[in-house]
Amino acid sequence: MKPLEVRNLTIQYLTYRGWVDVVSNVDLDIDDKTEILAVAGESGCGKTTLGLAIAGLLPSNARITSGYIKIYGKNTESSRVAVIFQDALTSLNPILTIGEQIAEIYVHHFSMTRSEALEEARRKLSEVGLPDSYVNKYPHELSGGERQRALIAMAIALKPELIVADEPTTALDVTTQAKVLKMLRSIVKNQSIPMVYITHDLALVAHVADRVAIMYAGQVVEYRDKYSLFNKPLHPYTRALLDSLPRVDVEVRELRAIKGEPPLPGVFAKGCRFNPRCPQVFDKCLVEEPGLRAVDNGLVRCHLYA
Amino acid sequence: MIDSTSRTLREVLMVKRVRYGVIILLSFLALSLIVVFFSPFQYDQISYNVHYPPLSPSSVNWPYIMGTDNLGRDVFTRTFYAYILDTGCGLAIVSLSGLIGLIIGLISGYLGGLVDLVLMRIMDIVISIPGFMLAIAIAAVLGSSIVNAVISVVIVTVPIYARLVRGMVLSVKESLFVLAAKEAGLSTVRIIVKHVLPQVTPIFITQLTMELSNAIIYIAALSFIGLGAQEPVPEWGLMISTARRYVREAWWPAVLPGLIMFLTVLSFNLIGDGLRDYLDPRKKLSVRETS
Amino acid sequence: MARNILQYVFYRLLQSILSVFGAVVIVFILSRVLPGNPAAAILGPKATPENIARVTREWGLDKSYLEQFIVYFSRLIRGDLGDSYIMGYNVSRLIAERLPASLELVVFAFALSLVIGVTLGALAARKHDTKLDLALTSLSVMGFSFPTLLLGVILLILFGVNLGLPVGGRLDARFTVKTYTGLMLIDTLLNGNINAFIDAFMRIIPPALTLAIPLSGLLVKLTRNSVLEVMNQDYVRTAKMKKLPEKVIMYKHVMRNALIPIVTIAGLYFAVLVTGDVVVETIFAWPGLGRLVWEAVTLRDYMVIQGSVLLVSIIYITVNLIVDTLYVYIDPRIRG
Repeated sequence: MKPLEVRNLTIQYLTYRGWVDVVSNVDLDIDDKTEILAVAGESGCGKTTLGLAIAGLLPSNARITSGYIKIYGKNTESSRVAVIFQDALTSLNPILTIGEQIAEIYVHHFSMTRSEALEEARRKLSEVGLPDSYVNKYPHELSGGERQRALIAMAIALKPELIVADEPTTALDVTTQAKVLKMLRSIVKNQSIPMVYITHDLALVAHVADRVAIMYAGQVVEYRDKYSLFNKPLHPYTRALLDSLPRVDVEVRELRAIKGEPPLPGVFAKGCRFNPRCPQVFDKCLVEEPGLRAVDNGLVRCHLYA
Repeated sequence: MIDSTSRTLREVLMVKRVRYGVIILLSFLALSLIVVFFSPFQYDQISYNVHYPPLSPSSVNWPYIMGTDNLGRDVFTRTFYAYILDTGCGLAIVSLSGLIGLIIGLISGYLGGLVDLVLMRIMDIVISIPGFMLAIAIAAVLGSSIVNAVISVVIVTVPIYARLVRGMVLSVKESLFVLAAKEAGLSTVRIIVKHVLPQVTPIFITQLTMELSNAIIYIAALSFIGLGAQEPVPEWGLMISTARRYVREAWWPAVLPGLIMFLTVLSFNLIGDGLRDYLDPRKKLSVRETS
Repeated sequence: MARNILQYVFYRLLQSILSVFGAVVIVFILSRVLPGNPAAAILGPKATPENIARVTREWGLDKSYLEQFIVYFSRLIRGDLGDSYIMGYNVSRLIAERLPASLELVVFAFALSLVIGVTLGALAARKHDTKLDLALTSLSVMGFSFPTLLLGVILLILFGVNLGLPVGGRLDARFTVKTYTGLMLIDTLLNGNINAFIDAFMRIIPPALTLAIPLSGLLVKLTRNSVLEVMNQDYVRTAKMKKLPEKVIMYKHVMRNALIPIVTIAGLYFAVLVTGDVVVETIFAWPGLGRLVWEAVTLRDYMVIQGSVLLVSIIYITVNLIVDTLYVYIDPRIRG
């Protein structure tokens, strides 16, 4: 049974303009218990919504209109998915101690007494490199990096079948970022908890992921293993993303940003959704929406590889 | 300009609560005008000898739609004269204290320093005494009359606006375009009028609408305890105060004016509440998509 | 951390003392701008030349305003609010006699509104955008638009005339109850007089409802909005992610956070109400501080009016101080 299987998933949001697609017909898999799947794309591409859907935490103004998500063959309600959210400060309850917020997991899921649970919470805090005295601290008393660690401690305390990490390091400085990433990787590899890692930063993907899904305008446009993707990016969007990264090995005179703006949810171009910004656009792209095609070590959604 | 104002007006009226509030408001206004110009009775027309005990509101007693009080006066006529008086007093209160509060708030917020400190300390002291009690104390000293009641409520409510406006001025003051205007050498008064006031206005107007119902309640309550309108002036609080003494015999001279007062207060609350929701950007439906 | 709390409380205390002093100044000014001769106004119809001379001497009314203020202030510090020549008592004693009645009514009404307001408000939030929510929100707007003037009269008729229940005052004259606490519901029980308790209980219901209905309306709306806002917070999503039982999420994570702003506003209202509502106590002949103020206004007894206003302000400021201090314990963010 696969740790994660997403098939033909379409999610809509209620906006001023009515129901609009935010995620369109997405297929994703995690095959192995120690795999990290990165989902990367610009803001508004639907990656956070996808992450929330996998965790079964879609807000009330969202609905799934087609497809399904299975975690070890079960639906999201009956499986345990932990999420490490982007904004640790707002994701922690401001009026409960860190210890309490971890301990309640043990109380409700593993029927421990409160004192046993608090003891366990101390252990988890040490595991993520925080002093165990932090059980008595409130979220606002911690630094950004510490809060993120506390959130990670909470996630692993849940003994999840899958972790969704939604840009957990964006708010952190580079050194802390590296430490947190290393910790996340070791959790996946040592505790065999597969992870969906959501980010807009392809540089991070190179460090963390085993497999990568690039999303654009609600669709997966390229889905390949990390090495193939970085060695030979296929989709023009992936290439543009990689080109926009600052690099140390090649001297570049200017950072090349991708021209144009990402589309608003639901307002997609006819034909290929990337065509207004694509440097290699041709006639077919304007009329026909490309499907996902098998290429070496993965899939790509582009007429260039027909 | 006019076009955008009318569009805003139309949008505000789309909020259901505002619409209901405006309907009540307009129909009461129309009823008052009808009463003033076409009622067969004067508000102080006593017919004690003809109608005792008080006539109840029923079709038999036409044209006394709401019956008569213990002096045989027409309750309907009095109630809608009182509508004009009470909402008029309410409007006078909010516009006076709003204006004074606006000026104090603008000066205090914009000048800052010692002026701000002194003005705000005074406002703090006024606010640290429960409003109705202070209004009673002031009205008692000034003497019982509706004008004095209005004055005392104005004094008590000025700090609400002064603080509100000051707070908003402080936040606007730091904003870029005011700093830019300062750089450009605009005079203080010009900056306040052209840049600060337009920012402050919508929230200020909403607050005024909300306070209008409080002002009406204050005036009626002061009159109820004998510190506002005096007989035979038609005023809701006074009417209820007089009528409650014989309420076991006749309920309508107390309850019906009270009901119209309730609907009036409700109409202003509905409008104010709807306006606030309309102006509150957080309430708007939006996509919570942050990826 | 602890030092910060102390600093905060100390600062608030200082602020409160300043406010009380400000209230004293205002009441002093009001007492000196009385129409005509202040001494004659204070004395009312009992003003004889000897009495006027006595009051003038007692309060130093022939001296400068500063000296008058010093006399006024030093008497105040000794707890002396002066004598009411019209009601024939010391004002402090008059107020002390009336305070328990107001307190009992207000605590009763307040407890009632908290229970009704918070329960219904939370219910409306959980069922938001349904018909039930619409009904509750509409009721709440109507509730807090209800003038106590009208509500009081309606309940007076409903309970007194239609239902034929005892209304008005705190206790029927046929009962004699020994006073222990000044709170009738407790005193009747301490006397072991069940019939008196039932009578007292039935009499407190209509005025308490008159106070509670508008306040509940307000609390329903506040609670609903607060709960809705908290339900959209990220940390509630975190709690859902932990797959905690629905009840735990609702009470531990949503309600506890949602109640923080409610406590502040409810505290403010309690501070306003705690000294009695003039209108309600007048309608129901409830012998509290509000009724005393009404009597004083009717008799033009300025000593009693000013004494009451001053005392009410002091209680109001004190309750606010207590609420703010409590707030520190509820919300750890302020402590930090």
